[in-house]
Order: sequence, then C-alpha cells, then structure tokens
Amino acid sequence: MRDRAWRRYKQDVKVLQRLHDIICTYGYGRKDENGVYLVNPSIKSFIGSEEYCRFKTYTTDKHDSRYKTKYSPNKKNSYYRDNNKDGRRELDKVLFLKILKEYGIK
Amino acid sequence: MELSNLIPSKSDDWNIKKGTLFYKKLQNIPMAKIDDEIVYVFLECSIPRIVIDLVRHLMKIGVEFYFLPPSWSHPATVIDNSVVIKHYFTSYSKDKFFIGFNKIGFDMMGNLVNWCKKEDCIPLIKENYNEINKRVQKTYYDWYVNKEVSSYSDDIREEFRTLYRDIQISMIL
Repeated sequence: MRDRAWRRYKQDVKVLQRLHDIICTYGYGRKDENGVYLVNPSIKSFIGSEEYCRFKTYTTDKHDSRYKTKYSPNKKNSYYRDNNKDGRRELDKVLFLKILKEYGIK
Repeated sequence: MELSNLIPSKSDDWNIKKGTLFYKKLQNIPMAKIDDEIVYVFLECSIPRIVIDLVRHLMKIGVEFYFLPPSWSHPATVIDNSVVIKHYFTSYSKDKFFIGFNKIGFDMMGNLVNWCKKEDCIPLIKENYNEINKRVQKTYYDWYVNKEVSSYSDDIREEFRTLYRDIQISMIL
C-alpha cells in the first residue's frame, strides 16, 4: 500500500542517500546543530540542519523523471504521447486485445 | 520509575534500548535516561519539537528532570558542568526552544538553577551567561537596509538582557 507511511519511508531513503553523497565533502569537519565541532560528521549530525530540510524538498533534476511523460487513464486533458515506443504496457495491451479479436476469443 | 512512562505519544518512533529512550528520525537519537530516580533529558537542538513534547509530558506527570547536552549520551564524553550550563543558555537563545518553552510555561532558568544547586556549581552560571549574552547582543551593520541587524530576534535579546537578574531571583527562591 502506497500510504503516508510508505511515502515517508521513501522520502527518508532519498534524504539518506543525498546525505551520504555530501558527507565526503566535509573533509575539514563540521559544526552540528548543538554547536559541537565534529571532525568526521555522521548522518546524525545533519538532522535538523539546513541541508536536511533542503534535501527533503528538492525536486528532481534528472531528465528521465523530470520530463517523463506521465500516463493516467483518468487524466482529462490529452497530451502528446509516443505510443510507438517499446516497452509500454498500455500499448502491449491494445495489441494483445487486437490479437484476441482476430482469433475470436474476445 | 520506568523509561516507558516517559514516552509522550503512541508513535512507533519512540524506542528504549540499553537504559536510554530514543526517538527515531532517520537514525535513533538519544532523548532521555534515568539516573537515581532523576530523569535526564538530552537537549537535542536538531529536533526541538520532540524535546518540547517530552518536557510537556514530564511536567504533566510531575517528575524531577534536568537537561544534559546530547554529547553526554556517549559514555566516553569528559564530564564538565560548564558545558551543561552553556548548552542550557545556547538552547534557550534558539527561537524554537524560546517560543516553545514559553508556550508550555516551562521555567528553563529555574531548572538550570536547581541543577546547579544539586551539582554545587552556581559560580559557573555567571561566566557562561556573559559568554552567551555577548554573542546574543552582537549586532552588525547591514549596508543594504542601512541599519544595525542581529541574527537573534528582538524578544530573545530583550530576555537575555535581564536574564541574569531572573536567575538571581530563582537562586534566592
């Protein structure tokens, strides 16, 4: 179930991944939120920091997710969709139904 | 008294391990421990809302509690009372704690004085107060708006000007 708990879990995974990526950039240490200087900052020292809040709200800049053509059967407005591209499930389904009709199964 | 009684909500994020109460936010953060029937709350500045909730709950159940810096949750930390007093002042100068504790009606400076009386370290208050007050009252000239600005809000600066007098009154009482 993709409920609130699942979304929070996925957000935590993403934030952890982003924090892991920037930890190595603090080679000279860092002050945590309690004012303690840490030579080797851990993920715990980033909680509540400016970076932590920023990583929670960052939108993606990856091309495959930012400019992704999103499909929803309930969407009212029509928009361009490249149905000729391979690997689309809805197109497979249309072809499958065509074959079924040809053979008189459906 | 048990640690399970200190949990303020039914949330699954709270857990108890090795005699310490933890709150999970990405990782387990130590929140409180019990030593000689006295509750010690780790004053974690990274999650102020959770700390304020915990303090409100402790006030409600009426237990004696004091604050410690989060670094003291590590057994290898060198114990220094001056660090605790400084952490009290530093946390009180932060917006979220200042507003939150005033909202729930918690007397943080009274709590500090009680802790100092217990540990016999009242002379340390003055020197730490002077250090933090100097930082809070510091202003710099902003040429873009042509006026003196501070990184602390006016309410906090006003409070810190007369804070030592309040502490002295708490000492007498």
